[in-house]
Amino acid sequence: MSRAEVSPPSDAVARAHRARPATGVPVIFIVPALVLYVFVVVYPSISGITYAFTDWNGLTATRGFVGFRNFRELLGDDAARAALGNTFRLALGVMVVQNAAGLLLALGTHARLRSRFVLRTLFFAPAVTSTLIAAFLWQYIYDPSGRQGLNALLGSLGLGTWQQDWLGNPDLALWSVVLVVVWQYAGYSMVIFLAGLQGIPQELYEAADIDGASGARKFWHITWPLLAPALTLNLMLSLVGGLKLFDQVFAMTGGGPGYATETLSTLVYKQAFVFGHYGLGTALAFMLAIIVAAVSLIQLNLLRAREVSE
Amino acid sequence: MPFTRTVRRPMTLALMLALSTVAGAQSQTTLTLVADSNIQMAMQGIIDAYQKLNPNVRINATFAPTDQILVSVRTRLGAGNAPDLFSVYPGAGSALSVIPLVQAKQLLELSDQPWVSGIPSTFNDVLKVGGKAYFFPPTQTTIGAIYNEDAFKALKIAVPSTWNEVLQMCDSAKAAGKVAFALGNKDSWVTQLIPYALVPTTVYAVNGTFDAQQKAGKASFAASGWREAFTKYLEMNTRGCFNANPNGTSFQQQTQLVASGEAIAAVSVAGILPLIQANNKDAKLAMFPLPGSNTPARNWIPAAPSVGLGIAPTSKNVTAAKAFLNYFSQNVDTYAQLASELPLAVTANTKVVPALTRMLPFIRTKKTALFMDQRWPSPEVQQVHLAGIQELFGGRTTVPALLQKMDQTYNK
Repeated sequence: MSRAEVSPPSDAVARAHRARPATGVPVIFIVPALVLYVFVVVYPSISGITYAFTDWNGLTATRGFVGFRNFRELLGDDAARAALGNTFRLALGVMVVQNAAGLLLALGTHARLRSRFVLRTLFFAPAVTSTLIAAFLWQYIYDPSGRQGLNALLGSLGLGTWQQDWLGNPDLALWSVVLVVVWQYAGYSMVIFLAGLQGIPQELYEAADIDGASGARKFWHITWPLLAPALTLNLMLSLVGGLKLFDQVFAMTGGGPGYATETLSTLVYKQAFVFGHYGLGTALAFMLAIIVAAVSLIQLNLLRAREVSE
Repeated sequence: MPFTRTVRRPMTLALMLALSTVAGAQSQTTLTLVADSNIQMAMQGIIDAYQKLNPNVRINATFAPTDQILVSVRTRLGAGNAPDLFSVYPGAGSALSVIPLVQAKQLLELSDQPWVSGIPSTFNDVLKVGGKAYFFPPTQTTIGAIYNEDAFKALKIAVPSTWNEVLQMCDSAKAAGKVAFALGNKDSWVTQLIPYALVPTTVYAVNGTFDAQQKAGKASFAASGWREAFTKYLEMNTRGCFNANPNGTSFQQQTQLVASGEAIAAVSVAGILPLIQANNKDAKLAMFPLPGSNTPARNWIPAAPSVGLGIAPTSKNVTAAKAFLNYFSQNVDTYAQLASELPLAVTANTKVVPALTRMLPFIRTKKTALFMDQRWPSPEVQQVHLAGIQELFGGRTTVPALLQKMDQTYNK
């Protein structure tokens, strides 16, 4: 085969290649999905934002324009500030513990165990369970009476003093919810970490072995830096999920006891549907969306910078 | 037989059958109804009886817990596709209460209906708006202590008629290894029941015009018998009247505690009696007023119109919906029996379910107060009240702080 036969296409051919997208075929392919997205997501979201500047109660056909009054009211509202604090505590708790647990599970099931595939399936199973079913299941596990669930287990192990009112104690309730979320989604984080682990070249570990590196050094200098993309993805998903969390909180505590587990999402629900303040509820939802977007952007930039530096 | 005759006869028959089916379908009316699951058993009884009498009317009934009803019906009202009939609550304390719904023009006026004349005038301010009727309130209900008569006999406990006797009852039950009052405060609506049972005595027996004074800014939660009611609620807790961890115990668990006999009583609305009975068919259940003072003659009870049914202004079956409400109004005694509630108008001859006999004298002598939230200006006061009690039990607030917060929310 002569060199000429494999030479790059001439300018005319290259232009033709570049011109191909102009035929419009790829655009036609995305039109159905784009139309659906615009009408199902973009249009309702933008029209929803307009309610944030009204006093709509969800019932009347008319709604009065109130400018930024809803936002001012929320900024001065103790309940909204407390919910914001709870939301951040919950999101940070979920992010840290879920990813730590997910990483440990990934490292454990990445080892050459005979049962690793069964274990991976078992650990991932809660992630495909309905969040509401998981929440109702955990209500029984958290039964405060000591007749069943976690308290019964602690009692039978002679750890009666550790028995708690897991969902009824305002100091514990939020962390009890965090545990449920971690239980459900640690397997999800594990799968992403596993994908990252499987992408690390084996040669690096073999070279480290020849150099006499310990397990800890291999983890710290090979595994951890090369897991950075998986970590970025996991931290992003868990933080955003934690900030938006609603189902588990609503099903297990309804935001209580008192306001101990009230999050921005549950407060949006109450403002709109319990109090009939749709305008205020929408304003709060809009603020939550901005918070999620801002936090995600900051986090993404920080983690991307870390990926590059490592 | 010629082919045409062979085919023509069955075809004619089939055509006649099809036409009669179409005609039947045209005369069939389908009403949609969304109601509170608390009244499901009783409401279904009325619906079944009505459909039997009116085979051309089909009622598609959906039942859901109160919080879900609030969301789904309000959303459907806002979207203009509300059910023909739906649960409406008295007063203004809930998102589906009659006053905010009328203000939003989401209820059909029913003042011309025959049952309107039967609404006692004492309930006018929570059942009517501007003197006009907009929903059918079938019964009134009350809050008291649902108790197991056999358990009381076995423990030799007499039904208490004073506050001190309530505390003694707690001591006796505790000594026998039983829970005196099951309490499931995890479901926030349950938290209000004991204050609602005590406040008629501590507030309204002392000052019958409290609501009007509060509306005029001349009375407050903080400077009223509400303080005494909350203090007594906490006293019951420290005295060991309740199961362990009330804040972590659900309403379902509370019901099971009474049904299983682990608890000998629970303060609740009368409508819960059938639910507990369904969990233990052999239990002999009844209700006694929770005494709020040490002077039996000074004790009052809460009694208020319960959830009723209204018609959506967008309904295309108004005539059929009104006819159903009329039938319902003629059968309130049956409904009251099924729901363990009391007719709206109680006279000297009114018969009630035996379990409610102890409540009847209070209603006849008008020693009653409405459920407090029915006269509150918005659902937010109730929310502060419910969450505040959970905080009281969790040690996160105090009685004065909670009352102050309730006042602030009331006056907002």
